[in-house]
Amino acid sequence: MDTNGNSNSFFGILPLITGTLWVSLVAILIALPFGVAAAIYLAEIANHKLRDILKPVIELLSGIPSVVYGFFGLIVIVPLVQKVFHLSVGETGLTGSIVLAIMALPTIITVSEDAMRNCPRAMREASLALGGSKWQTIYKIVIPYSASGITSAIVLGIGRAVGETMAVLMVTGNSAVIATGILQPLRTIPATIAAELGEAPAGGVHYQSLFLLGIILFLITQIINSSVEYVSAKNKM
Amino acid sequence: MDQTLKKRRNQQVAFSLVTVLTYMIVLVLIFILAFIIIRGIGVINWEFLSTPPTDGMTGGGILPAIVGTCYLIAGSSLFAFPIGIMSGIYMNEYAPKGKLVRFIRMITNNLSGIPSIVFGLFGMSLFVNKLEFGDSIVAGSLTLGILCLPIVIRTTEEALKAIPDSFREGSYALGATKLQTIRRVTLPMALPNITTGLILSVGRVSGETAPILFTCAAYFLPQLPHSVLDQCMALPYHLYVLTTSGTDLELQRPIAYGTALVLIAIVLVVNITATIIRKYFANKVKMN
Repeated sequence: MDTNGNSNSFFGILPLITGTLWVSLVAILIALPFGVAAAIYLAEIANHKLRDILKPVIELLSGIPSVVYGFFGLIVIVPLVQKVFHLSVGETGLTGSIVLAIMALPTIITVSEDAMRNCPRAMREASLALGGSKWQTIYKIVIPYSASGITSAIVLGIGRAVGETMAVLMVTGNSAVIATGILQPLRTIPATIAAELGEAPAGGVHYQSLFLLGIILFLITQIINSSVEYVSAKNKM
Repeated sequence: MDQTLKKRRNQQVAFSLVTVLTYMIVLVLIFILAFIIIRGIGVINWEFLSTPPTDGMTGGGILPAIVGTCYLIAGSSLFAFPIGIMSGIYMNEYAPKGKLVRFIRMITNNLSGIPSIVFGLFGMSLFVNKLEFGDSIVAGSLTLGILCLPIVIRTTEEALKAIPDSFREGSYALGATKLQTIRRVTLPMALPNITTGLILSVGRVSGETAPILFTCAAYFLPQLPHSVLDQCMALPYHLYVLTTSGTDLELQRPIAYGTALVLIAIVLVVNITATIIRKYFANKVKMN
């Protein structure tokens, strides 16, 4: 997006949409194995006492402010990504994805764990009675049973990642080009609003485009949340 | 026999994988906390907490940011707590079960899914521009207040829902009115759980940056705000400023660690308090 504010300036949303999608999807890909594993562990393997300790610990992850994640990402993950991939700058989409993956974990874990806990005892017992091991019961009964819940968890995690502002703003490098890979600096919709609104003169084209971005972001998250709500309402019936 | 052996081995492999992945998450959390605590603890002293920044933010303390965050917490609580608790009471105790309540609940759920930067845009156009509060503590508090409303409404509703109807019926049977029942029976019983929600919402408010970016937060203010129509500094925004802009990023780094530590400390205190209250209350209910 052009920021020089003259009447010839050109505004386009494509780089921001691709940037947002890249960062959020890769974040979920990173978070998913950890999130589902933790949900299985909490719902099926851990005993009561261990679970009572682990749950608040994981909730703590969602309590940490996003600036602190951004700060941590900038100081620890940015140099790490730069070193591992031999890049000239460490502020890339992948850096943002890693930070977002950590931030989306509590959502994914809580929602999937709830879904797994809802799997009826009778079904588990039937599987165990047929000679299935505990693990076979988990991956052949519990996981298929809670598939829609796990899907909701993924979608909610994406919603969380799409809307996250500060952490992404601080670590993705904020370059408004159409991203062709995750190892480039890129920019998301919320980060653009946060970075540019302060310098856009009120009422101008630039200002209005940023509000349009806000509306688009709002619509994306609404669609995500409504579809999750629709699916979970349907499952309850 | 071979098959059983294979089955057992598969289970062992799978379980250890799942366990390792889970504890990696815990390790990440411990690493983040330890990293900030170890690097920040050396900066924290009374002077750091009680003086304003000096030398273009490369020296001094973070007092105005702490005070600003306190003002924002107080302001948003003043707005969100009464409205949120009353909505929760209405939804669970007064409103007839049906379409209307489901609709309101859907709206509250959606409100909690809105990205915080969108709240910032909304607050800026309504409170700062339309209502002409300007960049001020009022505008910031109201924006943050709307942001934490869903948390307050939902926890109040859940807390009230958890109270068995027999308590209400007992109160009615003794001739109490609905309002008396709510005031003397239902609310006091739900109070610990509601308090947990309020504490968590305070935690959320103290860490949010995006909503106050354009409604309230000041880059640098040497003195404390005099009125609610003044701008104020805030801890999360101050951390953002210290890490991304300023005169000398290297010299600002220790102060940034200190600020991050103060933020983390708030989060830890909030979460631990909420957990303790919830635990204590759960035990008490079991005993009854």
